[in-house]
Amino acid sequence: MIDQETLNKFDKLYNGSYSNVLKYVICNCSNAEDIKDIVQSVYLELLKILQKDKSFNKGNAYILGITKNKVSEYYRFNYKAKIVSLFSKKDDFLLLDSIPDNVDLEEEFIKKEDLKFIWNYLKRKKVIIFKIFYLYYYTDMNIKDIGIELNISESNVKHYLYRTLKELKFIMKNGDEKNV
Amino acid sequence: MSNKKMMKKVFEEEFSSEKMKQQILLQYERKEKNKMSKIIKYAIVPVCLVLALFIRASLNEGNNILEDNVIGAMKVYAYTMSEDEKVEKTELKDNIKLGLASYNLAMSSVPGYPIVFELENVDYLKIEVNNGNILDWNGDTGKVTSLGTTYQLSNNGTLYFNVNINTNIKITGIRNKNEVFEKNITILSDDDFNYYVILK
Repeated sequence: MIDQETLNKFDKLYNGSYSNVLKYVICNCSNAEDIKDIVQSVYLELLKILQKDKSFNKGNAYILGITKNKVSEYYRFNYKAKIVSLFSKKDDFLLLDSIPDNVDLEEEFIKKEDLKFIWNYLKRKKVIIFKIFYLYYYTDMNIKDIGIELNISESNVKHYLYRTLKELKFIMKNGDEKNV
Repeated sequence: MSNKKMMKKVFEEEFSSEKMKQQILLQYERKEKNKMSKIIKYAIVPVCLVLALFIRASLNEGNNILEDNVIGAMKVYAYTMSEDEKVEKTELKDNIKLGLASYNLAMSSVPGYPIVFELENVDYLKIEVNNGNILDWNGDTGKVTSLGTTYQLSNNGTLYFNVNINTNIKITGIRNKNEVFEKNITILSDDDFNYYVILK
């Protein structure tokens, strides 16, 4: 059982570090499916430390240290870099070629009931695409900073972002992915 | 709602801080429970072993108590002369004076007065002789060895005593390094050089 004092301390540290930990894990993971596992292992480790050391007074930097270790540990012992893509490379090109160029990216085509579908779609794409989407939409980073963060060119970021959005729009307008 | 907001919501749904926290806490509790059940599971063997050892120790202790309650004793036999002048092996009883067979007459073939000891619930008998000495005689070879005045007898057997008037043989029964009894055999003689033995 976790005592109340530990729980309070954990809450404080968790709330203060969660977004940074999540961002680090997403930017450094090899597969979108691994993110939750890694984040959980970070905070499980933190809980263990808090239970043992009642005078623990370290902050976010320490938690980020745990995160770095957990990411490398995860892929060292538990290699999960297999990326499951919705399309094979050949299919990908065919699909992209079939998308008309006049797609309006600003057009609102995502509906609330599509959230789960989009999530499943994104996590099965190349992990770099998933990362770009997360950084662009969730953390509000601009394209230039995403490029720096992921060590790719700005044009590549734009390419991945717009092409995937086009794909997504195409799929959503033309039925589920099985019909593509 | 714009695409951007909706897309943000996709990530918020999946990586909700609160949802994740609940999952972490649940997982932690589950791991702790598993750890406990593993500890219990793996502790059963050593606990059983400890219990078995404890029970065994208790039983041994019980045996020791039982052993301690067993009275350590011995039987002592001497060779006496019967009414029809036959030499016979007689058990010595407490405070009963017995006439020993004449050494010269009946037992000239042995080196001294033979006394037979039988041990009961003792590890050994500590035999100390005052005014005499202990002899060992090998009947096969006829070799006589003087054992001095003190000897530890671990098995049933016969010792020979070179006696004088008022020879006293002190016998202490030892079990588990403790003295469990003490007896004295006194050999007396009268004016006619008849020898008697008494156990006290």
